[in-house]
Amino acid sequence: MLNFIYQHFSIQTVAWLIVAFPLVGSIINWLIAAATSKKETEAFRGLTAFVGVGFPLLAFLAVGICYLTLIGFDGVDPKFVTGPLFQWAAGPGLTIDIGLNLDQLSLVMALVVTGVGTLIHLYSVGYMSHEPAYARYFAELNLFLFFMLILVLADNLLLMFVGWEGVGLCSYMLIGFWFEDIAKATAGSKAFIVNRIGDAAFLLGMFLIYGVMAAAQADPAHGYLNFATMASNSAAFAPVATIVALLLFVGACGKSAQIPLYVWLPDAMAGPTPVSALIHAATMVTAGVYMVVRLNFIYVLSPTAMEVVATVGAATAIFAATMGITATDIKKVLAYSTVSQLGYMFLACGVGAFSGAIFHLVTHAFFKALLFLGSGSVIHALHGEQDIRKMGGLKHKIPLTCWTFVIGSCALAGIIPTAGFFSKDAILWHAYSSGHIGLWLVGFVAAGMTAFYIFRLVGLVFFGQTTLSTDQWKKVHESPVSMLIPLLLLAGLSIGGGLFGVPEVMGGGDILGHWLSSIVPQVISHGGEEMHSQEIVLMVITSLWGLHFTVLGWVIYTQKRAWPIKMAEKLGAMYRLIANRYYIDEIYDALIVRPLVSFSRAFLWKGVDDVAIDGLVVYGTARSIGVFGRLASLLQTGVLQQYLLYFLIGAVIIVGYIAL
Amino acid sequence: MLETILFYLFAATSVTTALLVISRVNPLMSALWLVVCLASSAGLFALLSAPFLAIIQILVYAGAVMVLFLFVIMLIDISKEALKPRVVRFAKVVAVSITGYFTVIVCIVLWRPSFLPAPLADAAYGDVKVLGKMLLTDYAVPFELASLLLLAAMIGAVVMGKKKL
Amino acid sequence: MNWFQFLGLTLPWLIVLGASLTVLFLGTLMKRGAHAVSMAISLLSLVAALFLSWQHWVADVTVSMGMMSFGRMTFLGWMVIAIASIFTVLLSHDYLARRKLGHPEYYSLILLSTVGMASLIAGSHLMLIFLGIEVMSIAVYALAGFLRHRLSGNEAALKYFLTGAFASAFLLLGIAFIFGTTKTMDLTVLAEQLPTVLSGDMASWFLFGVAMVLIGFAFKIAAVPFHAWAPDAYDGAPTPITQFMATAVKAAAFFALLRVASPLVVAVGPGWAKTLWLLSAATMIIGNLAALMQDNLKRMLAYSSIAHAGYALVAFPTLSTQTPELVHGVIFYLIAYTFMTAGSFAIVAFAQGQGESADVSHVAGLAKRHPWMAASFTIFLLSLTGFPPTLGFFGKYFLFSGAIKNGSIGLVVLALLSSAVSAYYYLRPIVVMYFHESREGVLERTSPATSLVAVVTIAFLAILYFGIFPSDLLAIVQRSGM
Repeated sequence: MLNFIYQHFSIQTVAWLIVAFPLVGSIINWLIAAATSKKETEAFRGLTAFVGVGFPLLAFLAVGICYLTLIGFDGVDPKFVTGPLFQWAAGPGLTIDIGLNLDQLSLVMALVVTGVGTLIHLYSVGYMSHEPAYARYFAELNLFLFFMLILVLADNLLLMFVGWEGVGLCSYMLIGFWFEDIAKATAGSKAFIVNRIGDAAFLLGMFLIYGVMAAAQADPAHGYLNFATMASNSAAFAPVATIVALLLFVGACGKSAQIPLYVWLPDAMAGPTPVSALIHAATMVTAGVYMVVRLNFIYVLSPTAMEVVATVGAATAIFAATMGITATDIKKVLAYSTVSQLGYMFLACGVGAFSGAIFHLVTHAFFKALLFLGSGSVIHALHGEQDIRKMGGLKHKIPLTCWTFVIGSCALAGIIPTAGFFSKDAILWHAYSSGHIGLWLVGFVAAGMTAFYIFRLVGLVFFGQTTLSTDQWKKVHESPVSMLIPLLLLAGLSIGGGLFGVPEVMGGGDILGHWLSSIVPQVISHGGEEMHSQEIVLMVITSLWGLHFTVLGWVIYTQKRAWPIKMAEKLGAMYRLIANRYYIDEIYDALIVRPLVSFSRAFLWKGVDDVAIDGLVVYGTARSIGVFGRLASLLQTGVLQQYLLYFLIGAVIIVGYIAL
Repeated sequence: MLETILFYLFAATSVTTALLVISRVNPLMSALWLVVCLASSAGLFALLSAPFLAIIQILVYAGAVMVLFLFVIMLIDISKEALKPRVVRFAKVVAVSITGYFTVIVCIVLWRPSFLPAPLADAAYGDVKVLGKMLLTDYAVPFELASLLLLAAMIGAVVMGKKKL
Repeated sequence: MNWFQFLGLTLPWLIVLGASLTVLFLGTLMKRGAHAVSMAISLLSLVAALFLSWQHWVADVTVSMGMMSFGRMTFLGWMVIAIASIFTVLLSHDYLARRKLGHPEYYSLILLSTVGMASLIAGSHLMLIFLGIEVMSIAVYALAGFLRHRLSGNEAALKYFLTGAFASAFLLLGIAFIFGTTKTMDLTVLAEQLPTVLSGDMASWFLFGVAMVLIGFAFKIAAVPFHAWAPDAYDGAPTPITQFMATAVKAAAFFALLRVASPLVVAVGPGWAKTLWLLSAATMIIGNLAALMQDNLKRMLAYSSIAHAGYALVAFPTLSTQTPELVHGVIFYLIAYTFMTAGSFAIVAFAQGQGESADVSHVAGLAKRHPWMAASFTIFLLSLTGFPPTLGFFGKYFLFSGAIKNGSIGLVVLALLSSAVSAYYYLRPIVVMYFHESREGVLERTSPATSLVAVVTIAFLAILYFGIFPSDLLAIVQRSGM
């Protein structure tokens, strides 16, 4: 099979096909959408779905071929660069080659993006089946996949930024997919605007990198922003590493929803559930983590920046977990959980465990996509109900959804032997072994909370007494096969996905760690027998801690549902604080948005804009230029003799200047 | 000596008549002065030992073309009214001063009395045979292009002038 | 001289010339269908010329013979005028058919004019350059007045012709002076003799000749103050011919001016540079300011074309044989300008419909009636303004960065300011297209002719493609040498 492909295509072609397939799918679906937009038609639904799922699948296969090819290079450095496809800009000091970079890291990302992406596209076929704008949905989702692949496969920071902005755009379009609903459209705008703040910092960071590279006189052959060029000149970053790293990290905070820019992600749940699963759980929001790992050579130069990343990550992890406990919307719980888990990934980056961050990124993509799709299945079954207090006992009606959801929850809670256990444990162990005991403790506590809130969700939704009315209860139905297949596959991955990173103390090979070893610095934690025993002890403690809260959450919310209400009453103010998400949105509104708006209105608009800019600059110049314009057109009298007179004046000047 | 006298004679005549051509209100007078002007420049050609050009100048321009001019002018009936100069006074003042200034500049530029004596042309220079040979060898491309020029002008004239295309 | 080689090299234009004569005879032989056939023959011959020029470019022949110098730059120039003329022919068919003016003479004149341009571009001898200019111009004088029933058509032709003849006199006088002082009209020989002449007694006579030649060229590219004919001529001419004048004629004149000027500018000294500086500044400023007040799209584009000539002139004050980046900047700009202007005139021709008025209100509501046309026009106008990522942006970018590199900072600043002013009038039709209601009576959907759509599409794709991948076009220009 592979040989057949090699005969007909170069591996570079296959690599470009990875990004080309989703784009083609998107274009086809846009055309279908354009053709059917005016008519109430069911036509082309089959084609739309076929194209929408088929092209991501082809992309996945192409990634698979590249992956197998890479593995085939035994003993050789398996990294190969597809090289520049074309030169986008060339000039003195500014060369930008557009090229792909398939190395171990980007391949892992591409596998996750296309693999999970394909499953979610398949799931969407059933989930969105009642949707009139079917083709538009698939077109946007395929476009997202295209930009996401550009983001992870780009071989330079600028192309990565193109993908970065592109996924932001698609995220905006898909959050506001039902844009007739003003609240949903607003949620889309919010996501877009908050991300702009991060992007501004990202751009500044990029400019700074450019400046550094120019000053270091790096080889401009592929452009200064090429990752390989940057990595080989990484020493030049030393003086400004902290500021560069922090600027880029602000960008990552925006995209990956970290404190203080996380506020858009819970609102982003306004989009269709598969979108939440793909964009706001599995792929796009992890772009920040990917970027930090990709640029690890800058981060390791600055211990300060690493501290900041780790601290922000840990703080986000615990902060979001507390909000997850009180949220009542099934998707909001998962959204806070995502924010919290992303915090773990940044924690891992901050303590230097880059491969741990990627490991958690991968497993998180599996189980969080599973959880979102499961919640989608629940919502689908309940015809749009999202409040978990109005559910219960659903395991009898939708058993498959229920049990796959439980598997996902176990993975999230970190129960042995699911994927989540290994990845979360790796992060906590690295935090501990690198000496960040405080951060470890925070992560440890957050892990307990995670287990608690997710099994609170499981208990309330699937077990115990139902709170549904009889009518509603009768209408509950299991989802179609196209939605169940992704659930089953993802459940399998959530259990087995951890095998890639079983730590060496447990007899595993830490396959992922070795795979990534040429890209990220190895964590030196093999301190002999003593460390090994510490690692095992910690592992046992962590898993018992998680298990404890799992059981606690499950028991309380299936059998003793009155307890938490009493607790909430007793805690009073504290509960209200958390339930209202610490009033962060309100605080931002009061501190930033409203002053900004009133300042803008009173001063910038009425004062600066109306009077100074419009009055003086815009209309003023327009008027004065208008006067000149009128003068200039007065010259055009239509009288030929006068024209010849101008001619003669010109002749006088020219002859006078040149010949005199 | 005789040549010098003749040169100044022809030169003075052609400049004077050229001025008369553009300053006459009656186009008929202008055309007639133009005949004189062209004839005197033919004299200049003859002085420059280019007899063929001199003859052509008289035959074609002073003869054929000017006759055509006169016919056309006499055929189109120009009323007295149309013959009045219509340029605005202010523009006239500007025009005259600019032209004057231009003339002054040109004079200053060209008034560098260091004329090099032109090399004497060889005897065969203005010869018809030599000219014909050159036109069909060295200057074949511009010669052909000139014929294209005439073709374009002809088509253009037909397009502009013919009542029904 | 190897005549076979010469004929081979000039074959593209011999074909066009042959087509021109064929078309001319068709008029007498055929009564019905002569229009379509002559259009087809013209189109085919121009496409053949384009293709053969491209083949020459690829073959990369560099040779001087028959008073012409052939090289990649020549062939590139040929391609540019071939493309511009193809656009003209495509636009003409529908335009003439609507007005029942489909006479073969029209096409014959266009083809003759392009032959003139070709020799103007290739000419390395002042005599040939002059003849080329005249063949090109005389054909265009007649074409400008092709709307014979219209007073403004006659006015256009007459004004263009009279001022053109005036300018030709200057040009010819200049050539005579250059010949008189250097005893040569061959540009290569002239360049070699330059130091001798400039240090000799005849320097001021020679410079007078150069000044006169410059005046002649300044007229052809419609530089201020030799521009006054342009708005009237552009307005009165049939729209496809306006496009022809604005693109092909101007491009050919610039190609020739580059060839004539590049050995001269620096050699002749500060006076020449200062003159071109003034010429460029005045052209940009007057062109842009006067365009502001125009309600007539054709007049607006006429002034815009004047302003663009001013931008291209930015490269000239520091031009020398050592500055290929300036030459390439100008040529890249000319190509960009050709595409966006041809596209704009196509839209104007479409908006005019049967009538002659080109008032901006004709495009009102175009976005609703013909969204693609409106979108394309928007792109053309944005490109003319110089917005990225259109071709117009990169045209300005390469031109101005080259000029800055050679020290014309003040002029570039002026160019940028005046192109900021140009946004005012370029954006106005966009506003009218998208936000104004259609005028009454134009509500019916008249679908554009296929040939017109072809022009718009080609221009649109070229502007976007080369706007995103400017290096492709730049590579072609750079590989064309000087």
